[in-house]
Amino acid sequence: MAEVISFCWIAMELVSEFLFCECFLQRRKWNYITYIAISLTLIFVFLYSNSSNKIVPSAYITPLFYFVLFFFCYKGLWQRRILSVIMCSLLLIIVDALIMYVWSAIFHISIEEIRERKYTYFSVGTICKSTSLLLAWLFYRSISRSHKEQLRIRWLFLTLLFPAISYFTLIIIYREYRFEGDLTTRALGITLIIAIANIATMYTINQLEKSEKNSQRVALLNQQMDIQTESILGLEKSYRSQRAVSHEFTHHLNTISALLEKQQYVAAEQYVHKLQEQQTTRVFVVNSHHPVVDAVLNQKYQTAKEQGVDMQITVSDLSELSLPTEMLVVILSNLLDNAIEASSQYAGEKVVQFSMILTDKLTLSIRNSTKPVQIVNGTPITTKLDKDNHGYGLQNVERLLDGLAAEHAWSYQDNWFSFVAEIPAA
Amino acid sequence: MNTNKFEVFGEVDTFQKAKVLTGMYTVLLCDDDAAFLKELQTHVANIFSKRNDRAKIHTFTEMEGIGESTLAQCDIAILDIDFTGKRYNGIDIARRLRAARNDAVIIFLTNYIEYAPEGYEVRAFRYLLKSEMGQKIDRYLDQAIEHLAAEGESIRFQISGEIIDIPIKDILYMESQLHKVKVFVQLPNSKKIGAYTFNSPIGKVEEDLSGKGFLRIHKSYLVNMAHIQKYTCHQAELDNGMILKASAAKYAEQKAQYLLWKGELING
Repeated sequence: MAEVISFCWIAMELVSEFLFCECFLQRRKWNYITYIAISLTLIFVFLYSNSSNKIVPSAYITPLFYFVLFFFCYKGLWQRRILSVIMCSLLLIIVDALIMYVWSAIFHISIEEIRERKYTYFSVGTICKSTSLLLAWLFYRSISRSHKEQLRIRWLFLTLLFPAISYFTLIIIYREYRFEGDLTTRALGITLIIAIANIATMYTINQLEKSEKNSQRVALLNQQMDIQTESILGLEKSYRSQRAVSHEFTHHLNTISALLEKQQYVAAEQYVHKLQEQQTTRVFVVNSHHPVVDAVLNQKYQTAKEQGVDMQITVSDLSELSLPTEMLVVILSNLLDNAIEASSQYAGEKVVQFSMILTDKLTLSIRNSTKPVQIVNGTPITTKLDKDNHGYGLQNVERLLDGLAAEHAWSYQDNWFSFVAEIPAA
Repeated sequence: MNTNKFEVFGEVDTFQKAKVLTGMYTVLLCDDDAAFLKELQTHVANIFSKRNDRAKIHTFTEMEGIGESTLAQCDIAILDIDFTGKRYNGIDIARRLRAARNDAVIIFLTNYIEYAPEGYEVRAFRYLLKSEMGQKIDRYLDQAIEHLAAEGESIRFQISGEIIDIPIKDILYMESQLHKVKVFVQLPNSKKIGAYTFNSPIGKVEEDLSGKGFLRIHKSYLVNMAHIQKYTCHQAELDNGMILKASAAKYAEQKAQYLLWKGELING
C-alpha cells in the first residue's frame, strides 16, 4: 500500500514538473522513446526514493533525474532547462515544507512524528502533492506560454544560482528541523522568507525577459529605419544620376543634330557608335514592373557593382505583387545587403544570384559566394564581432516571413550560401 | 502501361553525362555588329579549344538567316539584344530558339543590361555586358557547359543485353513495391507514361541518386523534383496532374530541400 501511494506521489510530482516546463520550454517531437524515457524516470525515482541504503538523500538526486528527462523531452538552451527544473523542484519543496510545517505547528508535533504516523503522513503527503499539482496546473493555465528564449546566456546563468541555493537550503532546514517540533514555527518563517525571495526572483527574471524583448524590438525598428533611410537616399542618388544622364542626353542630341544639319553623316554615325560603346552604365537595370522592387534592386545592383560583386538577377512580371511595400523593402534589403557583404569579403569569385518569381506564390531566392557560414537550428549565425547588436537583419526577415506564413530554407555548401522562400498568396 | 523487368547495369557507373553522349556542342552567335561578331566567334572558339571540347559555331547578323535546323541543334546561344533598325530583338530570337530547342542555354551579350520578365520568360541563363566580355565569358561558358551536362544526365539500364539510357529529366518518380522499384518515365514527345521495374530497395536508389534532384516525399515514393508542381505536407502534385501521397512527418525537412533545389534551378 505504502509503495502504491509513494508511486502516485512521484507520478503527481512528475506531472507537476511537466506542467511547469510546458510553460517555458519548447517540446521536441515526442515519440515512443520519449514515453519510454518518462516511464524509466518514474521507475528510477520510485526505486531510489524507496531504497533503504541511499548514499545521497533522494531530494538531492531527483532534480538530476528530471533534468536528464527534460533534456530529451524539450529543446533550447540547457541553462534554461536547468532553471525550469530547479524552479519547479523549488516550488514542490516549498509547498511540501509549508504544509508540513503548518500541520506540525497546529498539532504541536515534529515532522518526524508526522512521518511515523502512517495515516497522517499519507494524508499530509497527498495534500502536499495535490496542492503542488493544482498550483502547477493553475500556473500552466494562466501563464502565456512563450518559448522564445529572450534572456541572454549570462543572465540565465546568474538567475540559476539563487533558486538552486534556496532549494538546497530548504532541504537542509527540512532535514535539520524534522525532529524539533518546537522549532517548526521558525522553520516555517524561514521557508516563507525563501519562498517570497524566490517569487521576487521570478518576477525579476520576467522583467528582464520583457526588457530584453523590448531592446530587441527597438533594435529591429532601428534597423528598419536605417533601411528605409538608405532606400530613400538610394532613390535620391538614382534620381540625380538619371537627371545627369538626361542632361547629357540633351547635350548629345544637340551635337548629333548639329552634325546632321551640316550634313556630316559619317561623323554623326561615328558619334552615335561612340555613345553606344560608352553608355554601358544604366541607372536602372531592373524592370520587373513593380516600382518598389525595381528601386531596391537597382540600388543594390549599384552597391554590388561598386564592391566588385557580379550580381545576376532573374525577375518575372511582378506588377500583380500585392505584398506590403514596407515588408518587401525590409526583406529584400536585408537579404541583399547580407549577400553582397558576404560575397564582397570572399576571396574567390564574388557572385550574387537573385531571383524573384511570381506565380500563384512568390518564390524568392538568393545564392551568393561566401566564406564558410555556420547554420544552427536552420538559421545562419552572424559573423559580426558585436553579436549582441548584429544579426537582427535575418531575425527581421524570419519574423516577417513567419507573419506572411511563408516557408523558407537556408543552406551553406562549398562556399555558396543559399536562401529560398515561398510566400503564399503574394 | 508498359512494364518491363530490368536489371541495373553496374552499381558504380550508373550515370553518364550528356557531354559524352553528345560529343560536340553547337553554338549559335547572333549580333548585328559583324566586326564584333567575328571577335566573339574567335573568343568562343578559343574557349572551347582550351577546354579540349569540340564546338560547331554558327554566326548570324540577322534573325532571318537562322534556319530551324540550326535552332533545333543549338546547345548554347549567345545573343545580342538590340538589333539596330530591325523590328525584332534578341528576345524574339530566344523565343524562336526555345520553341525549337527547349533545353538550350541562352546568354545575352549586350551593351545595355536590363533584367526584365522577358528574360525570365525565355529562361535567360546569364546577361553579359559587351564591355565585360573579356573578363566573364570564359566563366559563363564553363557554367553553361556544366549546366548542359547536368541537364543531360541519364540513368543507364541493361535490358536483356540491350543498354538503355533514360534521361533523368524524363523520370517522373519511383515507387517502392516490396523489394522492387518501379520507375515511371514520361515517354518522349508523348503524354504517355512508361514504367520499368528492377530489384533494389528504394533507399539504395535514393542514395545512388543523391544530388540528382530526387526527393523522398514518402517511404514509397522518390520523386524527381523537376516534375513537382505543388508540394504540401500531405501530397505532391506532379506537372502531369498526378498526385502522390506525401509523408507529413518529414515534410519540413523535405520541403526545405525542395525549396533550395528550386532556388538553385532558377538561378542556374
